[in-house]
Amino acid sequence: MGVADTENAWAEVTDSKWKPTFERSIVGLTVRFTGTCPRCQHPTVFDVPKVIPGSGTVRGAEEFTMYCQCGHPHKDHPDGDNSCGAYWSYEGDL
Amino acid sequence: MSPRGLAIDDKRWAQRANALQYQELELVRRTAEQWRTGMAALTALLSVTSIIAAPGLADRVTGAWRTAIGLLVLAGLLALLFGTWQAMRAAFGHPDAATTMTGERLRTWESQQAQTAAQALARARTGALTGMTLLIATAGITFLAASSVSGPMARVDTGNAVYCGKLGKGDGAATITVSGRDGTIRTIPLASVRSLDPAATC
Repeated sequence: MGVADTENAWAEVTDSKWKPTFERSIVGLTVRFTGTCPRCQHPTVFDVPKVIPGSGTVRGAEEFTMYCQCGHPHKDHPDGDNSCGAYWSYEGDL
Repeated sequence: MSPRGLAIDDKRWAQRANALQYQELELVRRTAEQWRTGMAALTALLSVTSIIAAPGLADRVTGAWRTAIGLLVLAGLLALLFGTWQAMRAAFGHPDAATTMTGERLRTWESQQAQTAAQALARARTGALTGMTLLIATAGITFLAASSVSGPMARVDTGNAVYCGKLGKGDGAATITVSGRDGTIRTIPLASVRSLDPAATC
């Protein structure tokens, strides 16, 4: 884990070496994953909503895409996207 | 974590799935509203039976014809209900239970829905055509069967007029009824009957 860096310019990048860990919790109708962005090292929260119509229930851990939602206005960020732009694959229970 | 190669469209799907949480209530209400409209259409279909089961027509059909027509109406109605149900499925999807929606699940779900909807639409077309054909055929058969009702047919001459139709017992003493093909029932006093001849057809 490095030091949080708001100067890290916004970029939609990924890295298969990123292996972040997140804490899972249920908040209302969403499954919330709380942890640190593997790129900018800012705390970030990723919500997976429960919606209707659904796609059926899948038991066990599942791999899915997360992206940074750290809330920090990184350099060159587009309007409405206060994050570093990074995204990564994460495996966890839904 | 498995070494899955990610692309930018994986992020786009994840963003789409994530945005769904802001429309949850709207989505549920929209789905409920569409299904309510569909259910009303299904209920309206039941009125189709009233065309065939109209008292004036159904009462004039007896025996095996009556059973056959009843089965045909049932089959036609079921085909129409199936067709409408499939059209609803194609248009609105199934109101499944709520599930957590990741970008990957949303992508798979949308792809499956597109295929399912296309198949449901084809079944809806078949169901609607079959149902309509069966009901039209039933209406035709009912008309023919009603016209060829078996029974004591006779030609009754009262001197003033000649009536032809199915004979029956009148409500009053010493009266008979003659039921014509158009459904009119005439009560004739026996005293006024000059001649009564059996008739094969009227």
